[in-house]
Amino acid sequence: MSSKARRVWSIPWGYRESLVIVLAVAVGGLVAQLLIGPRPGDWPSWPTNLYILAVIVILAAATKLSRWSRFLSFFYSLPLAVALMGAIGFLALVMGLVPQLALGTAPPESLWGRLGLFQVTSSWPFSFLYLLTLVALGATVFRWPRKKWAAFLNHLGLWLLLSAAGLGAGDRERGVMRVREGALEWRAMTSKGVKELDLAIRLDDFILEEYPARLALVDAHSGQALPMEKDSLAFSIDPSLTLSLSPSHLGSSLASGRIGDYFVEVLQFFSKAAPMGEGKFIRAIYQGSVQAALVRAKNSLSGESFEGWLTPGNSTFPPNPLRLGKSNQILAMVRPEPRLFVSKVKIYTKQGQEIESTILVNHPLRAGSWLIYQYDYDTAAGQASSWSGFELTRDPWLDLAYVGFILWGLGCLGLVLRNAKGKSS
Amino acid sequence: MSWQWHNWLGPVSIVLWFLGVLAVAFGRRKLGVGLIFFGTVVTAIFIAGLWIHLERPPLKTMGETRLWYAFLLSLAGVLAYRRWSYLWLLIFSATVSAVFVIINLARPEIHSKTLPPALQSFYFVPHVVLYMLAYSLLAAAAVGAVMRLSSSRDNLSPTGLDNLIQHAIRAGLGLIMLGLITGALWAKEAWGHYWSWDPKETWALVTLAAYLISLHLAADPRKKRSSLAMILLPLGFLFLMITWLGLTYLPTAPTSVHVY
Repeated sequence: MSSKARRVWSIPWGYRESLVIVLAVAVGGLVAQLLIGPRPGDWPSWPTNLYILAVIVILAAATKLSRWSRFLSFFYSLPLAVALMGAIGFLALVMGLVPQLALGTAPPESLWGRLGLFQVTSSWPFSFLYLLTLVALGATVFRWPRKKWAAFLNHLGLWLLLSAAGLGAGDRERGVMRVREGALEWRAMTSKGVKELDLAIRLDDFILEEYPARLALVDAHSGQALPMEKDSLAFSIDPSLTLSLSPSHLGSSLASGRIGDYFVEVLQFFSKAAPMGEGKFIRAIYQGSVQAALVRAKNSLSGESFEGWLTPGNSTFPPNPLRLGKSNQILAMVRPEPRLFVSKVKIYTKQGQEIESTILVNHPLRAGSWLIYQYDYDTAAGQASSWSGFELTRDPWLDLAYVGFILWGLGCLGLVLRNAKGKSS
Repeated sequence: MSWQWHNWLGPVSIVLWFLGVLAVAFGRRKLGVGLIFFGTVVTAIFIAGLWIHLERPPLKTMGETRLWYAFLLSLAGVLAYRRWSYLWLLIFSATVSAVFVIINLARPEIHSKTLPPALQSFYFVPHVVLYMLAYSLLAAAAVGAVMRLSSSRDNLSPTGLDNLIQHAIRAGLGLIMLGLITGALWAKEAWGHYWSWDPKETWALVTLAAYLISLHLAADPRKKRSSLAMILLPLGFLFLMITWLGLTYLPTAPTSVHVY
């Protein structure tokens, strides 16, 4: 070894050594990737991940021991932290530019595919760097001066979160279940095929509420609409609200607005209606009813006026647009957007627990160790959907992740507030 | 107060900001700051009015988030001037705010009342507002870093500028991480997992890595004057803009649930 090389590797190690070590770990990962293929999605799982976590904690705690501290101080050094963040930032950049394949799908047989370019998170270089990050963060937590509590909480929270998220990944379960109204279901579609769960869901009722449909001009020839493209949203009006043109325009109509060359007024609107012949609609509240509006459109150039009932249609009734004379354009009601979808369910667990509740988007239901989410419904049928889709997730590490989130969040608050007071150096 | 009001109130804000910058340029500082602040207040009133009119927080479309950005950035400029007397930051923030309002005037989007079920959440408002606030601070940090890099050491009282940059990056980073945390907690409620490697999340990680490296380099006494720590600030801001605005144009966009 030359004298210069010895100087580079003399303890404490700095930026150059950190960069070399992080690169070596990444290259080691690439070699492992070529030799044994990608990391299986369910590895490490219980209890292997617990053993790994124990090793990480011991390594991190060992930085407190004076005998080893001279060497182990490297783990909580700034240079290693910077090099690791650089490496992980780079891998994230790759993931942000190269579309990633879902885990479980086979990557292409090319060299890049085998190196894990299309499934970075299950590649060995990513996994090795993740583990090294956990060690470095853990060591930092053990060595951090408690006086700087904001930064301490930031590191501790992130450490707990990354441990739960990364090491716990192999224990996470996810399934999708479709339940017909009135039926009981206990089988879910998982990444490993259909699986029988330790709970069953009975769907008592599925309720869909929609926003009032919007109006749009459609090209009669192509059927291709000017409608839902971003810019052409300017051509639509919402019949439920009074658009704020000048009040003199309104007269007796519910809503009015300008769509292209036409001034459009909504004279009548039913959120639940049914056709009664001759293109007319009446209010009708039942499953399978459809939105309908009586609309008058006046061409501001030619002065021609057209009037008629519009409906976006559903699985029972065809859409009913308004022909605007001999022009190529028709006025149509666009399929309404869902405002709310709710499933009334009864859950039965194997332990004999029975839960009667409702599940809706953003409000999952906890049943045993499962979280049950409103997932989808028969969008073609809309309000008449006869089934509801649920997503089920189970994550034994979730509580640890939440503790991490809370501590990290408090650390962030500290960072912002201490700073606002001008205390930080 | 529907979006049509923006055709009147938008230009009012722009004129106020413009006159404010002119007043500052001609040495009438107090008047200038007052005018700029007044422009900010007009924007805030419009946001409040739009919120009431739409019966939902106006944070859904790009146009609506641009509105918040214009409001928060110009406010940050005024506050930073009050605190540290940064004229250049005041002028910069008022100008950028005006540009965002002009974009909104040039690209009117109809702002419908519809709010899809996934957005009907307690986390919606804090998540977006935290990010918009962070964007404003980190924009200031990026401009400060460019000035720092292009100026010779003696100009512009470097220590004061360094202070501002460090303040902006710490507060900005804290806010951006709070935005990320609220986003993750929301994702757990809405989509079943707190981190799904959605391209928006992945780019948020790229952004975070850039800022964290800069912060850690600045914390190292041996690297106190590191130019890499400074270069990473405009670079991080570029990543931030890709995460916010540029994602739609990337090959990974089709797999994202965040494209709107």
